[in-house]
Amino acid sequence: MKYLRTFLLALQVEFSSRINIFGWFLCSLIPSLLLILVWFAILGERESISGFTKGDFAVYYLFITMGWYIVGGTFGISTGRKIKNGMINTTLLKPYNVVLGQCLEEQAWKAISFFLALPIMVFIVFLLRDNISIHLSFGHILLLIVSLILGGINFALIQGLVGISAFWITEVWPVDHLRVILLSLFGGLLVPLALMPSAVRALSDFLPFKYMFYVPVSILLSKNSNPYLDAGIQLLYIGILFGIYTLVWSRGIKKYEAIGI
Amino acid sequence: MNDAIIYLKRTFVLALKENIAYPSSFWMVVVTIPLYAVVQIVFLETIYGQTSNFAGYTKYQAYMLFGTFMMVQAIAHILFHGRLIMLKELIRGDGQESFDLALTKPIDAQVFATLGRFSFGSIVPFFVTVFIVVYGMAHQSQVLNLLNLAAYVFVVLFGVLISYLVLLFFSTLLFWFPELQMADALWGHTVEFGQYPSRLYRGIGGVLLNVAIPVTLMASIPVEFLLGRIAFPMLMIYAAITTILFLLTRLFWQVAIKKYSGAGS
Amino acid sequence: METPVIRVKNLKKYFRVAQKGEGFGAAVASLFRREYREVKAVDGIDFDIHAGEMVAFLGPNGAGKTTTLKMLSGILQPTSGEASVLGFNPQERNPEFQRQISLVMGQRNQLWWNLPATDTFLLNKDIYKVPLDQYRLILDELVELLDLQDVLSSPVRKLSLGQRMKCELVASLLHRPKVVFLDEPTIGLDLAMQKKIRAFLKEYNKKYNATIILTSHYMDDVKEVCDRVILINHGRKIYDDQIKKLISEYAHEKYLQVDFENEVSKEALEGIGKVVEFGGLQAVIAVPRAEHAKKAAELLTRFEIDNIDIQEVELEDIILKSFADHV
Repeated sequence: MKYLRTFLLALQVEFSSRINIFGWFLCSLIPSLLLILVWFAILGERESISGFTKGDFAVYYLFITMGWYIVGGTFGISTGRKIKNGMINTTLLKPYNVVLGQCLEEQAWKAISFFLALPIMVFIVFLLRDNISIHLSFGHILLLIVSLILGGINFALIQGLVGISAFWITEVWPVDHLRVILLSLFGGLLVPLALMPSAVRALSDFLPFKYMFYVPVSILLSKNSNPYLDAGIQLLYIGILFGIYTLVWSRGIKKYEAIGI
Repeated sequence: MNDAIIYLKRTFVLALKENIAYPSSFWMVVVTIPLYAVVQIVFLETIYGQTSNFAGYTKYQAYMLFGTFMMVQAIAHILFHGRLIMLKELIRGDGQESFDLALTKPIDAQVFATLGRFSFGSIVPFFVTVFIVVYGMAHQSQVLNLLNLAAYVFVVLFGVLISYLVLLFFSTLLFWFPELQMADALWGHTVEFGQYPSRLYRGIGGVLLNVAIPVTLMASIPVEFLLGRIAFPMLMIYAAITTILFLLTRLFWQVAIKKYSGAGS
Repeated sequence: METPVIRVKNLKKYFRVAQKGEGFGAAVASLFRREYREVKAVDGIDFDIHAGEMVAFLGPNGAGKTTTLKMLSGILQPTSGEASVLGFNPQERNPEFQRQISLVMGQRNQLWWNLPATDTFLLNKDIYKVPLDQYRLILDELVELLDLQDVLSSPVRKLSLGQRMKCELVASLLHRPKVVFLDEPTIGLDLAMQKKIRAFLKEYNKKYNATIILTSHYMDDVKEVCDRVILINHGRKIYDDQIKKLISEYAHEKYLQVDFENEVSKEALEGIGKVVEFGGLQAVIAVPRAEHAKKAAELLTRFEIDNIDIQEVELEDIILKSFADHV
């Protein structure tokens, strides 16, 4: 209940600052459009690159923009700041988890942005309609939704880890930066993994990052050989990351209780 | 002007001290920014795995392009980024400091509120980017021309100034929209346009990004000067554009200050 | 008489603020339409302040104290009216003017967080162009006065709130301003630290004949530090004179605080005066100012008394009363 209230309150704050919603959406659209422009330029007269057509590229990057509102987020930084400001005391005294609270506040922002961005996104897709062809069965759509949710949980766990790194270091942002880098490289945020050099592709199979955005978007484009296996691995990573998170959290709290920050 | 230099000299020393006293952030930057270079290199390798000419750039020319872009970013980071992103807290007054104080001090408020927190962490990334540019240049058939190099350095500095002005512009918007959260993100994404060849942008986009707000001054245009593809007189034009933008943002800033002292609470 | 340092004539400051409704529905509505309302933060204030005066702006939250202070220090532009400080128009923000004033905000920090306070002092020395020898002299004096020797070498982030406030004061006084504006300088500090800051301000004012203007919530700040008080409510000045005068003007009563040997009944005491507090063995009785000695004597004869104190009515009470009179 108290977390629901956090969510609703954050929703309200987001609504009252309309400029932010517009701004953030613009922010998220620029890199995607830019990358689409880059790949269209590279494609030139060619039909496709490694099986990716113009339409595939467009869908890929636009989906990453929209998928950000489902899977993504930035609450690691704000959590880190809260911990640094001593807000963690609240968590230790009350049954209210700061990390979870920050995470939920962000879900509000994501939900609103998603629905506000949707019409614009539909319009862009409409403009590109001649290039785009997506054929999804009902089962595929269901799997896509499941995969997005699993990806979101994986991503949130990574964010949580970024946030609680504040127990050890003065500023969280470099850690978050590292997260961005790993995700662009091994998570397919910058370039579809299928086009990446083989070494990067091989490495990404053993890291959690491709199981956040890349697996769902591949399902949408029907590009995975075994989507059910991918979803299973997503689930597996949730277990692993949760284990790591719990371990790091308890260490951090112990350190905090012993010597503070 | 003189006051600003005295201020910058002092804050430079303080920032050095701060970096020495708290080296952990310094080291994090040292580690993460070159990693970002790795991402860019993988990106380049991916692109040139599919094509040999991207908007007029060969692979090694593209190395110079991306190296230059990151160099401008590194310089921006060292010189002003840290202070300018604090402006939103200053204006909203929810941080430790308040913009009010900037207005009571006998120093230009723009200098005080947007400059003076140097981040030396980006010095190492800066050298990494220099190395990348040199590496790309070494693979060119042509010989390095000193005049071209001088023009390159100049235009890189214009690029840094443009980067500052874009961030200043978005930050100044905060005076009207104090809730605006993404001033620095907007800056980051606007600047992103600067990392690609200027030829990628055509039509209205081309006029906007190459002439009106020439973010391509951050990479493409300096590299073209280095490669001797642009005639020197163009330097004057870019200098003029940069100066005009500088004056316009300055004007915008002053209007913002007026608005702040007229309607603040 | 010399010309005043600060001269304010019919000063007004009106703001336009967005109306925000409560709840989720209103937040959604505000996406599309916003209503504004005019707030008269300061609504026609006049006063003169002379060199070396120590004046308090007192009033409830949102009364216009801080807004007035901000107009005098050049941060805010008045909607209308005149303000002149040291012969300057503050809103022009003339550097010559800025070098002679200082603004200290109790909740704000200008010190570099990760460095010892002395580093920020050096920065301010440069900003205010204080010559080095003069800087050393002033710094030594201030450090002595504020008893700061031991904390100067620790980074600001490690200092207590009170120590930080002291350093903040040093940073703000290094250029020896002629006029010092203090906005809630003791806010959030513990009582002992509040006392120290007050003592310092008083001494500083005496020693350098600096004009000091402060706003505060704490009555003690005002009572102990300032000679003159300007009461502000709803943007208007409702009182401007000596604090002593305010007390005598509004305090028609004195309080007799009595400790009895044996328990007494409340009814028995009511014959003496108005019983403000009662606890069997103790009581506080309000009596008319003119008769307080007579009433005390009466108490002593009628009851077995352990101790009796004659007290002034608290300044808070007076001010509350004063505000009530003007509503």
